[in-house]
Amino acid sequence: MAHTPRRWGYAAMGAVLATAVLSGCSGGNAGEQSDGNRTNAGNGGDPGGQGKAEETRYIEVWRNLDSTFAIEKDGPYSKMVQADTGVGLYMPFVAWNSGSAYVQKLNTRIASGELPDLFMPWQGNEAALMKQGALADLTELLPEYAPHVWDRIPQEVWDVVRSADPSGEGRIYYVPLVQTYTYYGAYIRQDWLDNVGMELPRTKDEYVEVLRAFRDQDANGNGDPSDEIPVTGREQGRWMDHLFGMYGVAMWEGLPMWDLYDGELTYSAITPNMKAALEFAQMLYRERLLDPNTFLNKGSEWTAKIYNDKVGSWYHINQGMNVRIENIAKVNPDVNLVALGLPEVDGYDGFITNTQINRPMWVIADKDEQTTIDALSLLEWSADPAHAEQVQLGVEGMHYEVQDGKRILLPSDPDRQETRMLASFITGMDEVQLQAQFQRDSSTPEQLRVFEMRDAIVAEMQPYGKTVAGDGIPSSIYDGYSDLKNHTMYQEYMSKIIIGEWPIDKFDEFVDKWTKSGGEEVTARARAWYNLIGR
Amino acid sequence: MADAAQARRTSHNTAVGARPQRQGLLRELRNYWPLYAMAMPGVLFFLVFKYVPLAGSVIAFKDYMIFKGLAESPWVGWKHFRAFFEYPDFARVFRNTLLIGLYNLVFVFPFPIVLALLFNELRSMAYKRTLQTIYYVPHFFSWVIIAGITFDVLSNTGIVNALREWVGLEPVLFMQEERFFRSIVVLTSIWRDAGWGTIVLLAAIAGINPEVYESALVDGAGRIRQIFSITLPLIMPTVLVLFLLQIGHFLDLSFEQIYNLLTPMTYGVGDVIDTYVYRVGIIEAQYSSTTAIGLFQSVIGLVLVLGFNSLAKRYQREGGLF
Repeated sequence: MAHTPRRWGYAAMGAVLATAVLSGCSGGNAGEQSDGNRTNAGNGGDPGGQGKAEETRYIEVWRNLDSTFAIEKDGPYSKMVQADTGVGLYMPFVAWNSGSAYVQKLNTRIASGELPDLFMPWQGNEAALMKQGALADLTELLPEYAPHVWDRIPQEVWDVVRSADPSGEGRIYYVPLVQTYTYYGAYIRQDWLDNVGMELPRTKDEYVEVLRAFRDQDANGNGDPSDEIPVTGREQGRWMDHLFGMYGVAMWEGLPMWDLYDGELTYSAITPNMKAALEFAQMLYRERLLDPNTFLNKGSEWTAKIYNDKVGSWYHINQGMNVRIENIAKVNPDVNLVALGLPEVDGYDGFITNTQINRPMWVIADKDEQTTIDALSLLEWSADPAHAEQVQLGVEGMHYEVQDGKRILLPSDPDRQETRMLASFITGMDEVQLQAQFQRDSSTPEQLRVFEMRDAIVAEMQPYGKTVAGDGIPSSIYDGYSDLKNHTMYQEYMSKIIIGEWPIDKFDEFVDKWTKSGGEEVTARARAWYNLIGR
Repeated sequence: MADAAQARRTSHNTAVGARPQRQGLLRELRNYWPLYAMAMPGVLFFLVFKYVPLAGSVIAFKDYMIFKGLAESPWVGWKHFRAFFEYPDFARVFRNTLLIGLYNLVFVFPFPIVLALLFNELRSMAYKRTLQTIYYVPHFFSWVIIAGITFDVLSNTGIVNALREWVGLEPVLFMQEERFFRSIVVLTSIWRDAGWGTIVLLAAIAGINPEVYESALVDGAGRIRQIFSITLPLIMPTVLVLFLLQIGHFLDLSFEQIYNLLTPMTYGVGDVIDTYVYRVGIIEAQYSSTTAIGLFQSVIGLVLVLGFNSLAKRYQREGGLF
């Protein structure tokens, strides 16, 4: 009978394990319930207790993070926002990685049915959410709780936002990122031009000559004539839009856009303009003027090449050039970056693609009215000119310091500075200049030089922008054709043609294949949308 | 599997005893209830995490909308299967999947066997253990890391191209050329998992009775002879089981591996069912169509397992999985 106790022991262990498995399953429900209680309590506490008795409500906000860590509920940024709105915010750490890591994490959260309260959708994933009723209807609440957002965004932009409602009822489901100025631009290193003794190129041929000089000579002056990359881009052909824009191809961060060609709304990737642009890019690649590693460059590698004083010319966001210049200066203090504009090509009207509605910036999960109102109050905070300084400068002590009554911006440090989560999402030249003024006022002399260089770039790129006809086109036009929506087919043909593995004639095959595998239907939907908004 | 065998044996015994089945079961429960209690967690695990989710496969026949729930989503029949087969690049995706699956069987699968045989021949225990540990390590790297290393090693400033330059050859951008893609997939698979795969085989080799080797030695068999006439035949059942387990996943390749190595320039040879599922399903949140494709992969896998299982049984008694 010596083994009896042991038998009992095993049995008990088995029973414990069994209950553990069972309770593990019901754990999710318990969590949801308590979650519901919490928000109810928040609602109930409203009428009775004034101010202090009320528990702070927190909104989970997701966007692209600049910082390398999570944004905490009691972190400095959340506390600053709380002080004005009574609503705090937080976000777990989610890597950005050109958006691919972000969208994967976000979609995982969506798949588990637990959406963040307020988030930035990516790659058009808001369309499916709208269709399934997972997003809050903002039509009534937005003008009431975020009047500055409502007033500052032009009505015509709201019309486009309404056209995205899948039910056709014109409800508002997202808040757009609005820019009424030229956001993107192409740049060239003036100090490199000086080193090779050339002028700023104005035409395509001059540009090519300059790139050849960068390739052949020691343009960066480090003693090695062969470490210069004349022009570079990123994997999937991203961020070299100026090479396409020169030929009048509507392009948004490397993704073809919709614009009028021969008077009709057309996917820019299937136009003769695209063919000409590809031929040009193929030539650049063949002559090793375009970075041979372009299609393998991750965002971080691309950035590193620029920072290490290896790149002569590239395309990116005008407003961000101060960070680039700041970093290049660590390697080469003589850095002088100027706007390239768009070199002219005979027979083509080049432009840089402007979109007033850059993309959907914020959507709110349809949880309960209080969550929606809280999320809107955060957006209102960001759009209210009264808070413009805080929105722009960030938190004292972390993003800037006050010295002798002057605000000094601290150098950007993603390891220590929290992301300015509620950065301004409505900007025209007025706001841009105001922001620049803030920055210049609070700069040290070295910083001032960088900001002035940046501001000159922003100003000089303005005339090259053109708002494309497909501005704000809803991603639902691609429903059922995900390879067209992801631009997968375009990316395959484009990259293989540019690296010279396929001849340029393959482009005609692409147009044909694209049209046949859904492009016709997508084009019909796009044109129907265009007629609907009646531009 | 052991449980099933046990159950078969006991039920056989009670049948011999010629008692009514029902009473026998009750009696067994009373007599052996601690054993049943111990089996409970395992059974529950499979029920809850493996069998219950199977019912979720119905979404393959529905237009599943996550916020409307299972019941509210409309039935659509074979729509998602049809959409998959009518996908313009279906032929390409399917061919790539078959080819890479085949390469995995032909090149990747035998590698651990060879490696295990080599390990087994090492005399110094310390050397063997150290070597084994080194070979296991890559298994714990995620594919993201391994793909990162691969891109680096093969980049135009990487070690391979540095060597090529050294002997006067032009650098080659391996990752953007179709002709290298499948070889890279095979090589990275071997690099990551060959060492890990030896564990089961080494255990099987350790289980071989040393007397067999001793008598072979007496008969004058050398090391090579012993490998081919003793070790290999005796681990064959284990190899067969591993093979059957592998063939069940013939169509579902390692998504993480291929996705991380893939670029638009290599879609032609590397776009497989799983990467397609990712684009359509995960990015687009089309859970129904991904389930349909998953179901398709599982059915093919099941057919292959059943087919090869019967072949295995013909090859040797008790050879198959079941």
